[in-house]
Amino acid sequence: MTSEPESYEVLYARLQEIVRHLEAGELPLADAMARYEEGIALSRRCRSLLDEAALRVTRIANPAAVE
Amino acid sequence: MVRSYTVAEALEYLNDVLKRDWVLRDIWIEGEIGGAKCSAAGHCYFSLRHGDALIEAVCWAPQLARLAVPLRDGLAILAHGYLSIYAKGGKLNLIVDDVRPRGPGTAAALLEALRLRLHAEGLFDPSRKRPLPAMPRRIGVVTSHQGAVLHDIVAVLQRRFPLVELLAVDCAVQGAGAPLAIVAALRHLYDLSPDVIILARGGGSADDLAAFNDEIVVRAIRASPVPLVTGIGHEVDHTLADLAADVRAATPTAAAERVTPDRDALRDGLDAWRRRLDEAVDEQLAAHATRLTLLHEQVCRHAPAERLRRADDALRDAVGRLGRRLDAQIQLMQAHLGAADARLGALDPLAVLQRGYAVVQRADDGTIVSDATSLPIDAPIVITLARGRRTARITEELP
Repeated sequence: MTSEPESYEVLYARLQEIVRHLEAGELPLADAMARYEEGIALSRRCRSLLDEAALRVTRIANPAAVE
Repeated sequence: MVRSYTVAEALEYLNDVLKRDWVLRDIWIEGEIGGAKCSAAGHCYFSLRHGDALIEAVCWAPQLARLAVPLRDGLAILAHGYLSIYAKGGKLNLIVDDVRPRGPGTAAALLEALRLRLHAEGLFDPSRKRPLPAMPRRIGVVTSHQGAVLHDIVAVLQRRFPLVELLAVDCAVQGAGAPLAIVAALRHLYDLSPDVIILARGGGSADDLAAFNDEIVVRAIRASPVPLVTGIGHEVDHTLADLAADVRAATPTAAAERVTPDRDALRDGLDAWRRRLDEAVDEQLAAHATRLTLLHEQVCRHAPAERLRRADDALRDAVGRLGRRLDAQIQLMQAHLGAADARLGALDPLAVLQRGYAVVQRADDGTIVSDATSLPIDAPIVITLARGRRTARITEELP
C-alpha cells in the first residue's frame, strides 16, 4: 500500500524534537544554525501539508457481496 | 402368532416412527418455559407448557450455546427441534436446537439478556477501551455507500484533517444480511490495518439498527486490532455495538470528528512550536554572543600594548617599593649612628680629664703610664690635664 515518506505526524514530531534539542542547552553555533534551518523547513512543510492536503478516499466493495 | 416386543424394542420402534414423520422430526412448538435447569454437563432441561398441556424438552450444550434466547422460566417461545422418547423413563422429549421469542416486549427482553450475557463476558469492560490515535494516517470506515453518511464523514475529514487516507468499505447496514456484511467489512479492514476504524450508520428506527445489536457484530467489533469508534443513528440511539466500541460517538459526523485532530488547532500548535524554535535559536545565539564577549576580553588582556602598560605599572610599583625600603634603611642607620656617637662620647679621654683626672706620659718616649713601678725616682714625665700640659719629675715612691 502507500507508504508515507512525509507524514505530518513524523515531520511535526521531528520539529518538536529539534526545538527541544535547541532548548536543552548550548550547541556549537554551526550545529544550532543547521538545526534551526531544518526546523524552519519542517514548519513550512507542515504548514503547506495542512494548507494543501486533499483527502484521499478509497472505496472498497463489500467482500461478502462478492460471490 | 402374536409378535411381542421388549420395552426397549417398542421404544426404539417408536423413535424410528418419530424420526421418519415429516412433522415430528422438524417441528416448531409454542409454549412457555418452566422448570428450566442446567446440568453440570451444560445441557438445559425444561418443560414447555401451553395451558394444561406440557411437554418435556432438552437443549444439549452445543445448541444451547448458540441460542439467541436464554431459556428462562416464564418466557414465551417457539422452540424448534424433533421429538424423541428417552428409553430410561419412557418420557417423550422435544430435543431443541433453536428458539425464537414470542409475544410483545420479548425483543427488548432478548436484547437485555444478550447485553447481560456479553457484559458478564467482559466485552464492554471500560478497561478494554483503547485511546484513539492523536494523528491517524489511515482511517477505515464501514458504512453504506448509499445515502449521506459516507459523504458526511468525507466532508468532516476534508475540513478537519485532509492528510489522511480514507478506506471506505461498503456495507449493508440493515436487513437480514447486514450483520454478516458488517462483520465481513470489518474483517476486511482489519487486514488493511488502518490506524482507526469508524463503524457508522445514519438514523433509523430501532429495527433499522438491529444489525448493530447482533452478537456477531458486537464480537467482531471487540476483535478489532485497532481502536474502533461507532457513530450509529442519532444521539438517543444506543446499541450493543456502541458498548463494545472503544469510543461511542453520537452520530457518524461526530465519529469522524473524534478520530481526527482539528486543522485549525494543528495550525495553532505548529505556530507555537515555530515560536519556540525562534526563541530557542535566539537563546543559543545570545549564549554564543556572551561567550564571544568573554573571549574578546581575554584576548585584549593579552594584547602587546596592554602588556607593556602593565609591565610599566609593575616597574613603577617596584621602584616605589624599593625607594620606600631604602628610606627605611637609611633612617635605621642614622638611628644606629646616633647611638654609637653617644657611646663614643662616653669614651672620650677629654671628657674624663674634665672630671679632674690626668694622663701621665713618660717624657722620653711618650708612653702612657698606668703602672707606678715603671717610673723610677727622678724620671721625667709629662702630665696632661683638661686644660694644658706640664712636665714634672718623680721625687718619691709612695707605697
